[in-house]
Amino acid sequence: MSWIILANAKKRKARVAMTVAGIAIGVATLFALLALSAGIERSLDREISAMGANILLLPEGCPYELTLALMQGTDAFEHIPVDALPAIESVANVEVAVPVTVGKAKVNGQLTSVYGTTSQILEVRPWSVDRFEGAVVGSDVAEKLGLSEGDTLAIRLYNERQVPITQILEPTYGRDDTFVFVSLEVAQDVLGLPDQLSAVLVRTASVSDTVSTQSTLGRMSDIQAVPPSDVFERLMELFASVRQTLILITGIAIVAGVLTTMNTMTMAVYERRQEIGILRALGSTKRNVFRLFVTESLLLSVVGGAVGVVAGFVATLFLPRSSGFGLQATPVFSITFVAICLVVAVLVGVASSLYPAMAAARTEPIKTLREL
Amino acid sequence: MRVARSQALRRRWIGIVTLLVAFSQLAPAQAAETIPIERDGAAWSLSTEIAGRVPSQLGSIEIRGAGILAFDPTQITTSRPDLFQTGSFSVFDVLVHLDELGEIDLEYVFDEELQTHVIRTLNDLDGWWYDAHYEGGSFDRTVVRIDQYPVKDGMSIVVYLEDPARLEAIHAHFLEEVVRRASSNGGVTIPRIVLRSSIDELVFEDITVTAHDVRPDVFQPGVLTMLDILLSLGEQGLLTELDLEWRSEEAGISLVDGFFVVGVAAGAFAPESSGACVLTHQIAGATIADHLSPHTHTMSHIHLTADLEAIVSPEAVEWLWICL
Repeated sequence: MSWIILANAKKRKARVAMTVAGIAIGVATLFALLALSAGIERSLDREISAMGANILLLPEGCPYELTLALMQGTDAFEHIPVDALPAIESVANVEVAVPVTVGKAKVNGQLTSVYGTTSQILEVRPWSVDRFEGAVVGSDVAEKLGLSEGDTLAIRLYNERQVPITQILEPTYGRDDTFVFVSLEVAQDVLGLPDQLSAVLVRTASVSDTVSTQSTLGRMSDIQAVPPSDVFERLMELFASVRQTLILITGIAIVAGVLTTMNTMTMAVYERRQEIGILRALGSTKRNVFRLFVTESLLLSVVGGAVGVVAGFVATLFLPRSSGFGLQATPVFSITFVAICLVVAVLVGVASSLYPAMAAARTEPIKTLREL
Repeated sequence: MRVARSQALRRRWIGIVTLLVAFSQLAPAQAAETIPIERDGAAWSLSTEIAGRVPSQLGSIEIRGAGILAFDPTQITTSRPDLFQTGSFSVFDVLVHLDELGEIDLEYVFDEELQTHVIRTLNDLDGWWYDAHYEGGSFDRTVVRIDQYPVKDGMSIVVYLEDPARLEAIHAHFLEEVVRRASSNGGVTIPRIVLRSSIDELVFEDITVTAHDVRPDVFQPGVLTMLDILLSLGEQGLLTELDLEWRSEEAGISLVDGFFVVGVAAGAFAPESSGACVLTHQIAGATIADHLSPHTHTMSHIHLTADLEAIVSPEAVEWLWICL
C-alpha cells in the first residue's frame, strides 16, 4: 500500500505540497497560540511572584490597573501618603513593608521606568546585591543605554538628579531588567511626587495568618490590600477574552485545512477512478481501498502537522513579545504542545478523508474498467 | 431558663436590626428620575429639560512638579464659548485661569488641525497631558480633549508630563477625527458603533449622528455628545428602546448630575439590565486602542456620563454594561 501512496505523491507533487501547506498553516497557528498563551501566563505569574510580596498595598482605584502600572513602572496617579507607612509596619505579622514610588522619567535622555524604594527591597527581591545605594540598574537598561558601574545617571522629569550607578543587576528575565532602582527620595523628587507612594509591598512573617493581616491592612483608610494571586487570576481572565478570539482564528485555519485536504482527496479519488477499478478487479476489497485513502490522508496530515509545528516554532520567535499588559512574554515550548498539534493534525486527516475514502470504496470496478 | 430565652430574643432582635442596617446600606441612596424619550414621528428627544449644578465650590488641580493648586470656579470663564454655556468650563480653562493668576507659566495655542487647545509649555516643560475624574470615579487614561472635559465640583484633576509616544497617538487620533469630520462636510458619521451585552453584541456601521441638545445647561446648541449617538440610532430605527435616568446623586456621591443609560433594546437584542447596571461608553479605534486604559469602561466612565462627553468624529464607539 505504501508504494502506491508514494507513487501518487511523486506524481502530484504540487497538489501534495499545497495540501501539506494548508494543514501546516492551521497547526502552526495552533502551536503559536499554545506557546504564546503559556508564555503570557508564565510571564504574569513570574512578574507577580517577583514582587516578593504576600500582600500588595495599593491606593484606592482599580487594583488590577494599579498592579499593572506597578509592574510596568508607570505612574497610575493614585497614591498612598508616606505617613501611612509606620501604621502599616506596626500591624501584627507584617515582616517587611517595602515602600515603592514608580514612574517614567528621562534617564540619560531616554524615557525609562524609575523605581524608587528603600534598602528593604533587598529582602523581597532575589537579587545578588549586598547594598542598595545610588542607582541599581536593570540589565536591559544598562545594555540599551550603554551603562556600567561607576557611571553617573542624569534622571530628569519635573526635577533633575545625578545618581551614581553602584550596581548593574544580573538578568532576571523580568521587568526588573527594565527598571532603574533609586532611593525613594530621588524618585519622588524627580517624578514630582513628594511623600507619595505608588504601593507598599508587604511580606508577612506567618503565611498562614496572611488573610487576617490582609484584612487588617485593608481596613486602613485610603488603602486596599490585595493578594497578588487575585491580581494574577483577574489578569488571566482579561487575557481569556483575547485568547478566545485567537482560538476562533485558529479554529477557522484548522477547518480550512480540513476542507483543503478533503478537496484534494476527493479530486484524487476522481482522477484515480481507473486505478481504483484495476485494484478492485485484481482482488482489492472495498475496505482495502477505503484504508488506502484514509492512510494517504493521514500521512499528508502528519507531515502537515510536523511542518506546522516547525513553522509555528519559527513564527513565535519573530512575533512581538508583548503580553498585551505591557509586559514581556517569552513563548513557552512544550512536548505536550507538539503532541496536541500532531493529534489535531491526525484528526484533520481522519475528518477530511472519510468522505473521499467512502466514495473511493464505492467505486464500481466494471464501470471504471469500461472507461479504459 | 428565662435568662436563656431573653438572651435568645435579644440575639434575634440584634440579628433583625443588623439585617435592616445592612439592607439600608445595600439599597442605593440615589436621587434618580426616569426621563422618557419623546418620539415625534422619527425624531427622538428628551421630554424634560434638566439642569445640573454649575461649579461653585473651591476646587483643586494637581500639576506635577508644581503641587496642588486651588481655584475658584466662579472666577473662571471658558476659552471655548463655541462649546460651553456661560458658567461651564473645561479642565483647560482652569489652567488658563491659574496662568492669569501667575501661579503657573502656561503657553498654549488653539490647534485648528486638532480642534483643541494644545499646551506648548507649562512651567517651561513640554509634553503635558491630563487625567481627570468626577467624585466617585477613578483616573483611567482619558483621551477626551482637555478643553472639552467639563469641570464639576469635587472632581480630581492631574496634569502631568505624558509619554511622548502616547501624546503623539492622542494627537494623531484627534487629527483623524477632524479629517473624518471634514470629509463628511462637517457632519458626523461614525464608522463603527458596538453595543455589547454579556453574551452578544450588535454592530452598527456608518451611523450619522445629529445633535439633540441634551445638556443645554452645559453645552451650546448643536454640540454633539455621546448620548446623541444612541438618540440618533433610535431615530434611524436601529434602537427600539432607550431608557434614561437623571441622577443628581448616588450612595456616597453628592454630585452626579448626569443622564444614565439604564435600558436599551434593538428588536430581539435587549441586553439585560438591573437597577445597579448602567450602559457606559468608550472611544475606540486603531490609532488610540493601545493607549486607552487596559481595563476599559472603568469607574470614571460611569461618572463622565454620555451627555457630558462632547465628540468630534470618533472612528468607533463601544457601549458596555457596568454593574455596580
